[in-house]
Amino acid sequence: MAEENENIDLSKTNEVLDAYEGIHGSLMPVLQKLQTIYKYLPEEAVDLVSERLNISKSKIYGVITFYAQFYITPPGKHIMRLCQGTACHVKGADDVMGKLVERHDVAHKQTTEDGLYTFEEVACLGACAMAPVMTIDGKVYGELTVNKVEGILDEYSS
Amino acid sequence: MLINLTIDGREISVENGTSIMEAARLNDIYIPGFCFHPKLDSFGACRVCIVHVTERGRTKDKFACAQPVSEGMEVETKSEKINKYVKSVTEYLLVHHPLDCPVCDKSGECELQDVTFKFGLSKNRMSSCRRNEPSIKDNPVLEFNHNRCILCGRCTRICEEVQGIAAIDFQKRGFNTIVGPFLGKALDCEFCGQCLSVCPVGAIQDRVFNFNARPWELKKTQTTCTYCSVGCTLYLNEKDQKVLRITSEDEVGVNNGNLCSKGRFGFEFIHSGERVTQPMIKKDGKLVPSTWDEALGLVSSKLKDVMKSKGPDAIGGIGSEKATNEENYIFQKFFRAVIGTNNIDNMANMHAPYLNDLILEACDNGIISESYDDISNSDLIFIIGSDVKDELPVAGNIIRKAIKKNKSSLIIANSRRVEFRSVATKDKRIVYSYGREIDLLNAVVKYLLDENLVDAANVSNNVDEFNNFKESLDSLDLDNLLNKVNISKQDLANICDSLTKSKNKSLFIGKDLINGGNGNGNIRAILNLAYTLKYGLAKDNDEVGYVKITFPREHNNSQGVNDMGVIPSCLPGYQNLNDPQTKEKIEKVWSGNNGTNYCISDKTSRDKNIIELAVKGDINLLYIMGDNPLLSYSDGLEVREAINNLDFLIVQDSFLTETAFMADVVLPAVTFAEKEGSFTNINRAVQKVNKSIESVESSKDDSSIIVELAKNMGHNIGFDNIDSLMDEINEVCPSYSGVNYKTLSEETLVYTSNVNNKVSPTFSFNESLESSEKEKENYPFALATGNVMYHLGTYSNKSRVLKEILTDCLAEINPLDAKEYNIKNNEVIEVVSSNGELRLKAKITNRSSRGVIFIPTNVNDVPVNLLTTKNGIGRVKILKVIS
Repeated sequence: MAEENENIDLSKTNEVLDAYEGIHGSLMPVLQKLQTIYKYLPEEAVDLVSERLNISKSKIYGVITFYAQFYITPPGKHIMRLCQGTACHVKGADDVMGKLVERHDVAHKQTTEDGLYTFEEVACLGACAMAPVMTIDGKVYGELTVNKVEGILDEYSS
Repeated sequence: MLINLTIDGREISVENGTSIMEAARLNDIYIPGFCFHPKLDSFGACRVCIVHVTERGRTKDKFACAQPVSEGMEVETKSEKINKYVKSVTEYLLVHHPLDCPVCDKSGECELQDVTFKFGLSKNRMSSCRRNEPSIKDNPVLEFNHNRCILCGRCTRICEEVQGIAAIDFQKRGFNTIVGPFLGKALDCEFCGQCLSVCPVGAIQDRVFNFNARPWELKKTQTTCTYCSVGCTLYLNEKDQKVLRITSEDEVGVNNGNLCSKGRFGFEFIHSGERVTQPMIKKDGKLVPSTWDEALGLVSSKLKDVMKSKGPDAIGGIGSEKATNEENYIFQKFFRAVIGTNNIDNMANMHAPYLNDLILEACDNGIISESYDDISNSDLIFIIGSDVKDELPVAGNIIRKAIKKNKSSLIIANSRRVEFRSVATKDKRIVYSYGREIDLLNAVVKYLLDENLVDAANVSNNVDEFNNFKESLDSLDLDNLLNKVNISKQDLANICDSLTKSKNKSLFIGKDLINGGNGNGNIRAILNLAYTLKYGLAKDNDEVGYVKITFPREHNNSQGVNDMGVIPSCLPGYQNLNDPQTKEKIEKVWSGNNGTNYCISDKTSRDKNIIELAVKGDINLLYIMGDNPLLSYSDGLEVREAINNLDFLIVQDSFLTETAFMADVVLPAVTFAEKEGSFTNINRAVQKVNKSIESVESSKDDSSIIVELAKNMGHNIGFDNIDSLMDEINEVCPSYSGVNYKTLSEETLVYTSNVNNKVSPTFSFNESLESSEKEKENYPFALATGNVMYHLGTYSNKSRVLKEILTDCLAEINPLDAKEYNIKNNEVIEVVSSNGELRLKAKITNRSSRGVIFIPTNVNDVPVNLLTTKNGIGRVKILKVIS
């Protein structure tokens, strides 16, 4: 059993599970709902999912790590996704990434120390015409340059 | 339904639903396969089992492990194209898999190595792309090497499908995929090593074996496990007179190649530095090494002295649940023939003196499980009072397999929330109040009769005492009963529904039912239920199923020691001690090879066991072979008093146990790896024990010691070889008359049959013992005891890795109780009963129900019996220890 974490309100997990307990194949929607609630998947919640859906924790972990959409640690306030697809690569996504890494000292799937950003490289955001492209909290920024990125990041610096 | 097909031109018939791969293996046709495993579901991950399949004139390439056979199918397993295909798949695997074979423990028995060799793959056209991660050694028994993993999924599937745990699974994806536990934490599982046993490469390795030999240097000896009563077949792997590892073979033995942590890893006791390797004699209060001549001389003169001064009945003997049938037979023969007393017993019989008779009654009436097939063919499995996976771990695997095969319903009734994972969709869990098994079973039978769910007339016609029993049941108020048991009427209805709607029923009885004063009543209540079901559901067609009970037996030979007559009241095979004909027959056999005329005594103590006689002062000399009553006798105080009361104590054991420390003479006995013989398992299957190594130093096997001792006393009870001894057992003990080593060594199990006078089925009404209100007030907790999967008896506690897996004896307590008493995990608590007290660390877990504290026996030599009594209901109070 995980160390008791007073900050996690498991009643919400129970609420989600009430609707899905006993239904075969309900792991994905349950994890997605929990991630929406907690922004990540706390171990205490996974414990409960394991118990009530009768799926072992290691199997749940297999699912969590298979999909890029799930987090097992609390993500930053803002989630930055920088495209590394072919078009963006050609248009200089590497330089943009270099700037990000330099400014925030983070690597793929890492969160800045102040908890402000979580940085992710993604394979393609599907907006090649605007390459290089990134999203912050779902908002799309295209035709990036190193200078432009500085400005955008300043908007999110608090 | 049989399906006919041809594989490589050979005509083959197999069951419908068989895969091509299975059909080929059944007929010794080789198709490579990494992810395929006979114990596991089809997975289709490794792609090397490709074959050409021609159906209705069209030929396609299929994967043999994933393709079921169909009528008229023509399969071709060998062709240039297949060769090329397998080679290229293997080539891809070898892009990732490192060629570190010279330093890999698996080398020589590696399936990837074999396929590479067989298909003549010598050069890889691609440049290699390998991981370079350190091995993970975060647990005592297994080492994970992700670099070598070929992601076949055998380990993850056996952990889930066979073991029911799923402690490891695939993580991440693509090139980064690895197999591991949750969050990459240290492995925390049953440590059964099942994953190790199926890994085709060296990705999972045995840390106990630990590079001590190359696989081809090892000599494998097939034998039977020395821990619990399941009776798993295992192979001792020996090199230079040292057992270095234990392996199993799929499809061999009752265990089908499955083993638990004790069986697979708990063998280090064989070469433990703590072994007693020479006879020891107590001089000035200290045990000092001696010689066989001196020790046996002393023992025989003491025996003779006591026989002369106080008579043979002042001598007592305790046989062994661990020793072989042959050793136990010689032991009782020594006592009955040479000493001339029936004062012999074993711990199983002293713990539950009623059990042998009730097992025989079940035998006579065809309601006893005769082999694991009875469980395998059941569509209902009712487990009561047993934490199967801890008590008899591999029986859990057998049950899990049956559930999968028959889609069986499962009912687990226990006073604790025991864990048992299976694929059962009809899975009912009943948590009853501690000590209320009889009430629960009475309620079930009452409900079956009252609701007319069974044919009462047929029950009444076939089972004696029906009317009295029915009257007693009628006098009970169902609601009151359910209240006591603490289950709802719906629960009861559900149980009865499952019981009546199934055909073949297995009742699996746990050790909980024979602990304490309710034991006899519990087992009787089980028989009542079995009779009611057997006759109440019998119909006039041949669709009638069966009811089979598996009775609790703890150790590898708990059944055999009783069968061999190491009990005061019966001769071998439960033959009547007072029947002159039987006695004469046995006396004749015993006297035959000797010249002395042996006479078996009529006297036997029926109301007091050996320990009680010793307390009373009637037994002055006690000879204990292979047991440690100081820990295993159910009343810790009484046994200590008894041992202190003795004039002379002889202990024959492989280790200086607590009891051996108190002995005047200790005779060093060998372990199961060093001797020949047989064990009888929980289903009364006699299985061969084979010698792998010579006796360690000057220790000897138990029968040789006793034969030598008899010789020292002027008697010849010896035998030429183990075969002639079995011949004698065949003659003396009719239920073993069909057993001979020839059939045993051919892996045939021989089941002992009962030849006693038939006992007709009889109902017997009992009620659960009640603790007095005052007792409940003074001792608010019920004390449940039982086994944990990592420890059983002396051996596991002398095995290094098992000690590392579980060192502490933890008292399990419900979170709510813990909160009330302000106890935290791992805090030391004092558990106090009317008999004694123990200090233990607490473990807070939902497994314990409210008001129940569970303490495992057999862990770290903690004398849990200091808290228990023979006939009471265990009640304790707990105190927090302030440090």
